[in-house]
Amino acid sequence: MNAAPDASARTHRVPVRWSLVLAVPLVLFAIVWLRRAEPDYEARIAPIPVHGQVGERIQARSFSVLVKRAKLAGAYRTAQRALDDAPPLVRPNGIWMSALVEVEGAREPVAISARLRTRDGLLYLASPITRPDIGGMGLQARRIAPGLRVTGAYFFDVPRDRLQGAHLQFYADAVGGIPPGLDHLVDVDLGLDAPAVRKLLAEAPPILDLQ
Amino acid sequence: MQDTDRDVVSTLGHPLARAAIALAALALLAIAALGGFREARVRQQSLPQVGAGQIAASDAFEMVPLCAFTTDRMPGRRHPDAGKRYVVLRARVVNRMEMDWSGHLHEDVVWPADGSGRAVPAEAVLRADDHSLSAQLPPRVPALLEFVWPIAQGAPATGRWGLYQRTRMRRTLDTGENAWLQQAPGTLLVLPVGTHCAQVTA
Repeated sequence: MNAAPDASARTHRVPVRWSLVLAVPLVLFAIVWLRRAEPDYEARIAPIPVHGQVGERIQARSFSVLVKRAKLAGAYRTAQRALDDAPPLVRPNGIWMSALVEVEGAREPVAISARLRTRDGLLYLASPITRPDIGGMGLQARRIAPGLRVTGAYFFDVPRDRLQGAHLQFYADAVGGIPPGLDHLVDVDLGLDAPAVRKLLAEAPPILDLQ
Repeated sequence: MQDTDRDVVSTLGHPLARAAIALAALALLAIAALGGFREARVRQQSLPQVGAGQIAASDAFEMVPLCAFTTDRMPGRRHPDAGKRYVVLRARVVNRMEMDWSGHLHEDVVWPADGSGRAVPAEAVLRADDHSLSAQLPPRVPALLEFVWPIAQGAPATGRWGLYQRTRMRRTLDTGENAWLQQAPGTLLVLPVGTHCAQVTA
């Protein structure tokens, strides 16, 4: 049986522990601050860059790549297909940049995608292999067998005024055009300083025949 | 009475707690007296409106509608599609994002079909020069595009389109990744619908 509460128990007050009252907002502030300071998802799974130059074979985890040269063109003339009236002229919105590349899969079949990264961080995905359609020479996201060196090209529709300082980037098995996380991202410095860009632009034909 | 019960009772007996309870009760009474909670009414706001040659912009895209027309064939096809009609909006579009998320454009340009309030994305977005389907939209390069919607035979083609606002969220709540998220309707594009557009020019 419970004893009857005495008078002192009825007037009992919960003591206010001011140290705890102060600790609660401090802990809440710390939680919010730590949560905000936490590296975001993209930073945690960011691809691992592997740097290189034009003319150098660069080995990544699942492929290797050698950029031979890059050039510009105003438009491409491609081979006439069955229903075309004439050989199609494939125009860009800016200017076409092509990169002649040799790629090789390391262990298993791999689809290697490319993009151009400008100095200010804008990304230009290589055009799909249907544009321009040059048969087996287009390499964008084309699956290649391991152990066979394949030479081909990637094409980029880029603005003329953002070529300076641009880098080429290659990555395997892209998801929606994005490099997969925690895998190698090959970054090739094209050496495009102001004179090099002027030279490329001066040499760019208005129409390049790819037939 | 157990210790915890005694604590609760004594806390409720505290003058501050009593004042808070009284205030909450008064607030409830006031809300009830004012008619209680009800669903907020959607405010009808008029969207900014642009015409041919004027700029409509979201954070993600800048768009200049140029002309609109109806046709009996999908642009680029040689022959009419039997029993089909299309309304085509031609526009110059600039991607303001950091890379080609052109799928967003497909979601953001809509046609309020048959005036019922249903916003329909285009069936196809084509390059205006060679009508290829693989219309890429690299950043900061103006592209001339054609947005194509099928319409019922004999139905009038309303010359009104909508461009949604889209903004970049640094960290979305669901995935924690940054993303370009579609927001509210942004701009109304109003153009006369003709039977053809002038020659394609960049």
